[in-house]
Amino acid sequence: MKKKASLLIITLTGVAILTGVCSGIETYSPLKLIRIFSKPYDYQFESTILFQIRIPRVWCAFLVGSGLSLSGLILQAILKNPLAESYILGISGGASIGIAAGIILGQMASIPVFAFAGSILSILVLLLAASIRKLSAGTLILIGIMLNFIFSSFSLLVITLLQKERFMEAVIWFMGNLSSYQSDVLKIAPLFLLPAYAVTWLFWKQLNIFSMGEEKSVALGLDPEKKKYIWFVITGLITGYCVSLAGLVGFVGLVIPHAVRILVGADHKKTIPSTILVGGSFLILADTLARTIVQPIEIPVGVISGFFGGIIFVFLLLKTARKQKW
Amino acid sequence: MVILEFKNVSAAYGKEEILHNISFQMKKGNFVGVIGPNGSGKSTLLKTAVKILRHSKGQVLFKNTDTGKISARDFAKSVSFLPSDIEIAYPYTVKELLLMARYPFSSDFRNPSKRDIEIIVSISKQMELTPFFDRTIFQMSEGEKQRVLLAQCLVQEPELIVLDEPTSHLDIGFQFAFLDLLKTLQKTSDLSILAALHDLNLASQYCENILLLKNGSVIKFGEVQDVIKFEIIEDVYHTNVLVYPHPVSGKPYVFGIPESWKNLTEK
Repeated sequence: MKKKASLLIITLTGVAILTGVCSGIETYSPLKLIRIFSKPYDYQFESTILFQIRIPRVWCAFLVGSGLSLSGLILQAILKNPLAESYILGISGGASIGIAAGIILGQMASIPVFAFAGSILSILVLLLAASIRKLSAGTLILIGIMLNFIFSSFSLLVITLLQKERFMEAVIWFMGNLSSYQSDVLKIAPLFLLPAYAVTWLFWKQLNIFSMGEEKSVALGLDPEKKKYIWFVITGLITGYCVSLAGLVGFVGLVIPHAVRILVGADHKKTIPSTILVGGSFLILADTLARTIVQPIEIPVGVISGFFGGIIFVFLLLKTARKQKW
Repeated sequence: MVILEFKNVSAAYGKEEILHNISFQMKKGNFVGVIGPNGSGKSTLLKTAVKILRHSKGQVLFKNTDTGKISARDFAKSVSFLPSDIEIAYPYTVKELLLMARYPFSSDFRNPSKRDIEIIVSISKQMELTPFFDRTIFQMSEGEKQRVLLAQCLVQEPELIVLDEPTSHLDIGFQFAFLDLLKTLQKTSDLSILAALHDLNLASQYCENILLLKNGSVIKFGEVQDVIKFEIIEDVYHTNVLVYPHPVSGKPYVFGIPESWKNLTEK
C-alpha cells in the first residue's frame, strides 16, 4: 500500500514534467524530445524553445506549486487546522498590497520584490498580533482571514483607480500566472526554496507534535511558543517567494496537503516530500492546461488550479468524508 | 517520597485568578483524584501541574525541584499528560502516535532507536493494541481511541501521569477497564497518577487520596473516607446525597437525591 503510494507519486511527477515539457504551441512527442536532447545542434529552433522557454517554465511551476503546498502543510500542522493555508492567513492580501504599490509607483520590473515584501509584511502583522496576547490557533486564523479582507479591499480600491493597461496588469498578478515570471527571480529561487524544503523535512517530527495541539505539544516536550514563530517565518518566506514568481495562485496550499494525506497518511516524514512532489506536479499540469487549452491565448494558471483544484477537492471530500472527520 | 507538591500556588488566565493559594503533597505511587463542581479549577490545576499554565504565585515542585527550572523536554521524560477531549485533526496511525511520544528522548533528526521500538511494541502488547498498530485513529471507537492516548502517555515511561477527565466519554464497561488498567500500572510499575474525575464514585473506588476543589480553592485533601462524606459533598455540590459503603469494596458510594424527589423521601 505504502510502496504503491510512493510509486504513484513518483510516476505522477514524471508524467507531469514530461507533459509540461512536451506540450505547447509546438507539441513534441517524447521520442522527438530525446532526439532534441541528444542532438541540440540539429534542432536549433526546438532546443531554443525547450531550454529557453519550456523547461524554465515547468521548473517555475514546480517550485511555485511545491512551495505553496508545503507552506499549506506546515500551517495546517502548526495551527492544527486542516483549513489553514498561507493565502487564508492574510499573506495573499499582504502580497496584493505590495503588487498594488509596485504598480502605482510604476515599478513594473520590481513587482516581485514588492509582492515579497507585502507577504512578509502581512506575516509580521500577524505575528505582532499573536505576540501582544496569547492567542489560540483558532483566533489566529480568524485574524488572518480578517487581515486578508482588509488588505485585499484596500488593494482592490487602489487598482480600480488605475488606468486601463495597468489595471489588466494588476488583475493578472492577482489571478496568478506563470507567463511573466522574471528569469532572475527564478534563477535565485532554488538557492532560496530548496534549503527551506530541506529544513522542513529535517524537522518533520516537530510538525507531527505541533499537529497534536499546543497542550499535547508541551506534554510531549516541545514548547510550541517560540518554535511556532520560526515556522511562521519559514512559511512566510516560502510563500512570499512563490508570490513574487507567479502572483496569487490560490488553493494549491489547501488541496494538495489534503490529497497527500489521503495517499500516504498523516505522518510528516512522508507528507513533506510527497507534498513537494504532488504540489509541484499539480501546478505543472495546471499550467500546461492553462497555456494550451485555448491557444494561442494563455489563461492565468490560478484560474485553472482553482477550478480543477476545487472540483478534485470536493470529490475527495465526498469520497473520504465517512472515514475522515471533516 | 513526595513526587508532586503545590506550595501556595495561585494561577490565572490573564487577569482573572482561577486558583487561589493551593497547597498539597502527592506521594510517589499514589492515585490522587481531583474532584469538584464544574468550573472549580480542576483542569487549571492539572495544567499548572504539567507546566502548560505558568502559575502566578507559589511553587510547584516535582521531586523537590521547581518545575520552572526543568526544561520542557526533560519534564516530558518523567511526566505525561492526557488533556480532556483531545481532538486529533489528522489520520495518524497508532504506531505513528506512539512513536511521537518518544520525541523527548532523542534529537529532532534521529530515527527511532531500537529501544524506542521495543517500548512501543511492549506497551501495545500490554494495552492490547497490537492488532490496531497500522490503523488510523479515525477508524477507532471512542473507547479504543482513549486507550491509544493512554498508551501514548505510557510510551513516555513516566513516573507521574496526569489525566484530565479520562473516562468522561466512555461507557461504564470501558470506564472500569480504563481505570483497572491504570490501577494495575500503578502497582506493577510504581506509577503515580493524578486525575481529574467527574464521577465521584469512580474517584472513590479507585483513588487513595482525593483533592476536593471549589471555586479554585482546596476544600479538603485527604483519604477517600475523609473527603467523600455526605456533609462535605452536600455543601460543595448544593444537592442532597446519601453516602453508603459500597457493598463489595466498602468504599464510600454517593447516591444523589434530586430536589424533585423530595415528596418521595418525606413519605
